[in-house]
Amino acid sequence: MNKLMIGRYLPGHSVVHQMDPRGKMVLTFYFICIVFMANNIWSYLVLGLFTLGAVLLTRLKLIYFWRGIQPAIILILFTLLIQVFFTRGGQIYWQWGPFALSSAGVVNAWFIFFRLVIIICMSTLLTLTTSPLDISSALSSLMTPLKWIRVPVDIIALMLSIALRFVPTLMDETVRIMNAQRARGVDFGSGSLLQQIKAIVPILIPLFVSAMHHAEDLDDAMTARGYRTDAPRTTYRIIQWHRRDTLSIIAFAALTVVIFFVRA
Amino acid sequence: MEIVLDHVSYTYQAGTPFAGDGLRDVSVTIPDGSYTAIIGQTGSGKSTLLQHLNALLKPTTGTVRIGDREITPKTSNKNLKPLRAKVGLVFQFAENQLFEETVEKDVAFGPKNFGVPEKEALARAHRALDLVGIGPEYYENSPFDLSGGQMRRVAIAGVLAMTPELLILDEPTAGLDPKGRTELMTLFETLHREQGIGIVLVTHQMEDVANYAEFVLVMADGHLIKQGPPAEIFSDPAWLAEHHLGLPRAAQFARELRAKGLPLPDIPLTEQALAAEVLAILRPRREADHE
Repeated sequence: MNKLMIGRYLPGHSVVHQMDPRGKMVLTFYFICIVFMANNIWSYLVLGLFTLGAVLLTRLKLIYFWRGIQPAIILILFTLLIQVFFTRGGQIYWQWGPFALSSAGVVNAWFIFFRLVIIICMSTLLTLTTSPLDISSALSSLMTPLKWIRVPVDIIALMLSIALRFVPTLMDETVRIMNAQRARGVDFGSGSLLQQIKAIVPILIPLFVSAMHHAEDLDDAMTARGYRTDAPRTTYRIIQWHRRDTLSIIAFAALTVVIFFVRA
Repeated sequence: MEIVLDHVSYTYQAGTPFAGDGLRDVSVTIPDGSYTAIIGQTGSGKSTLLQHLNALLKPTTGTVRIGDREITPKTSNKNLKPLRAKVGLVFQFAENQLFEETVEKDVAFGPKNFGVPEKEALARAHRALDLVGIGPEYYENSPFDLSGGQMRRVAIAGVLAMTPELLILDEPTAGLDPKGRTELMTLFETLHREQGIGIVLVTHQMEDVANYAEFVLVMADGHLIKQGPPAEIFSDPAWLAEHHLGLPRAAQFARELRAKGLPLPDIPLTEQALAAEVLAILRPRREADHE
């Protein structure tokens, strides 16, 4: 469980870490859109280099990005196979019923492979360099316009940060409960499927009970400190837009222009 | 069952930036049937050490020998189950592990996992519940309807029902009222004395160490920094204070009496010993006064 890198934040002091989380989120989303504009080897090369540059700017070890890709590798390979065998066009090397190996298929598969890797790298970069709290305050800041149509933005943001805050707590709790049940003779990860499903019950129920306890305690603590849902909120962490954020927007704009020129 | 740790080190989350040392080069022998206390500040590696005693954790380097089983970094996770029936581990806030519909089912869960037939498991559950003082009127109740103290007892019964040879207790009385605390500590003492069950107790209560333990291990920062009988551990208050540990209340009281001029021959660790020493000094004085 410790090796799972999805959604994990690695603290650091790089430029990417210090960027405005709002900018980072919007730009990551924008980048994913841009990736779909690429349609030839040059545009993919440009995107690849851009991603590599961004990754290097984080000053994190490359292994963490690899760990982000790892869980998706089966999905990527599966998509690859489908692309290779079901796309027709260009020269056909081999054919058997509905399956065909064609030059267009191979090229397409390569592009899709590249596209997925780039997208995963960029989104891993976002989560690796942005703390969950920053993500939630960025979201609430970005959602501010929704207040006009009476969406309870503050409450949603609070719910989000509480949920994020409790992920590690509940993870620890899970490990503790698993250990306690293991000490009582439960074997996780062995036996038939039915036995393995049965082994989950002794974890889930205590975990659920403890999550409820946490929620009740938090409720009391917040009420005791005067939390009200109807009062306007201020934030302790104020996100600020810096010159580096403007610069990054310019970089992405430049990327867009380049892609438009090199794409077929 | 004897447990021997030989140059055991353990690193948390090895290979990530979150890596941290849990244990550093710990070598110790826990003799068969002994009552050992482990003390040390929070975060000193006590709980990590405990989890090595029933192979929940495997050392990063070094070996752990539990009875005749050797646990090395390469030991596979298979076939560790028989070992866990022999070494019962009661975690901190053990009530968090309860999950069954009824008290007796929850207590019988452990034995059933180790292949004890249903009927025998229930019989064992009843015996264990009797030991911890939970009467038959509770057998059919949901464990979640009990009070905090009762839940703790049920959880401890769940480990006792596995009839372990060695009982490992991680702060078993934390958060209990004084009466519940004394009752549980007396229960463990009885199990140790009458059934010869070995006990390893992690505690912050120096009184418990003084009253029950035969041997003490002191942990700090992942290292085992001192081991010996309680009298030896508590003989150096300056050293204890340096490691953020205290003296048992009786010993503290005796030191203050001595500072006030009462010539106590040595520092008692338990209240009984203190009373005996004070009496030994006061009685001749009173007799002298009467004459």
